[in-house]
Amino acid sequence: MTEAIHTPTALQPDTETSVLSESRLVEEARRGETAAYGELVRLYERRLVRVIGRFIRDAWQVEDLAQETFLRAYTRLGQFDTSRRFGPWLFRIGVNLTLDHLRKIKRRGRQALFSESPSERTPDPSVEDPRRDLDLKQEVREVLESVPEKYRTVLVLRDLENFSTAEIAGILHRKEATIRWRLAEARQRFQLLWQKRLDQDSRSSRWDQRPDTVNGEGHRR
Amino acid sequence: MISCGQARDELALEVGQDLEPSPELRDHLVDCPDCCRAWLALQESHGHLQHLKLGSPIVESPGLWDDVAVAIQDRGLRPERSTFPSWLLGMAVGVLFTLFFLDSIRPTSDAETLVIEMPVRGLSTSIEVPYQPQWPPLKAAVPIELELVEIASANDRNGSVSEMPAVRRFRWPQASGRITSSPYQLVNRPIRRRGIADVTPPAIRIRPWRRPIETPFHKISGTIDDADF
Repeated sequence: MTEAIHTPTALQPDTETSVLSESRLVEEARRGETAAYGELVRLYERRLVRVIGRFIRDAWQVEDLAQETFLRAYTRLGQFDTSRRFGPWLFRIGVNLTLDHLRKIKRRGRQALFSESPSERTPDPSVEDPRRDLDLKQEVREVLESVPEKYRTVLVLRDLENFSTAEIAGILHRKEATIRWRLAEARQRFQLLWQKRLDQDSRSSRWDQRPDTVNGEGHRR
Repeated sequence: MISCGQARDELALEVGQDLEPSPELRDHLVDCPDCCRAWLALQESHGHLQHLKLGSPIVESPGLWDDVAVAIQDRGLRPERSTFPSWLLGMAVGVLFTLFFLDSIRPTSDAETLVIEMPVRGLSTSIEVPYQPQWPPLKAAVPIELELVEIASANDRNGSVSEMPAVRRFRWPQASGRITSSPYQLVNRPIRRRGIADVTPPAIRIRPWRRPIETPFHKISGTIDDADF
């Protein structure tokens, strides 16, 4: 019989904080004690920035979205159920804001490419060329970005951020069974797209090696 | 035996250790080279994702609180109070559910039933029965569904009594609002049953269906011929 494996939880704040102390902080923040909310921000900011950074490359944009997430969560503290953990609720707001942002960018047709980020380095002959690793990561990211959003989100949260499927269900407000199904589908889609990419690369390299090409540029027919 | 589709789904979960491989899956892999290839391909692509994950830089604490605190102050933000406490919402839902449940299980006893008993033998045309003053005034604006039931059955050829009463439903009154004088129309036709010689039911009983009339028990009797109950 096939059994689901309970994945270790990744949704822990940076320090050990119980639900009780989180709910106490939320209650205090609701009463207007902003310092209590500051504690919550400090507990979750690193993780939130990293999660948003999985979807968006621009570091400034990531911080803006993280800040906006905390502001939105602050105004909605009245809706938070203090018997639950603060993390899933916060990440749900953050992931939704991020996905909304990506949809806006997509509508505008402005998709920032990884190569556009200011990470150009001068080559150092004494060290191994880092571009190979960079290229591979870039390719993986590009393939990942071509996975449809609802699958990509699950894939990023599970495989890159190590959230358990139960935690992802809480963040995306879906049943865990739905998340598991999407995860299986997402990994298969990613694999197929990756394979497609490899096939394209091997075709183009074969084309480049043809004797009738000049300087590696083939004549497209 | 599992299909290739099921096997691929399981493999896609197993590659990230989200599922323990089942014996059926192992058996399938032994016999299916395509799924074996798919398994290897999944492992490779998943490995690239893991590479991306492990190679990510450690995020320093961004120190967002200072900016967040300033924005809270500048924008004059404050936590919205829950407009409707969840416990109150739960209680309201509970009360509504209880009322609905009690209403649905309330027995439609004779005490709540408007009963009209009348002989209908030989009746074959529609008649109009005017509203009778002794009938309960209807306060409900919603028309009431009535159920028409034979309370006595005709004997069949063998002399045994049919145990299944005929039930028809109709709406009464047709109009909404407080009804004091609207007539209702009772349409009753002889029932043709196979093997039954005398097919007209000897009597009918009308009682409210679903929504009992508030005023208890009214019994109206008379003959249908003169429509005088």
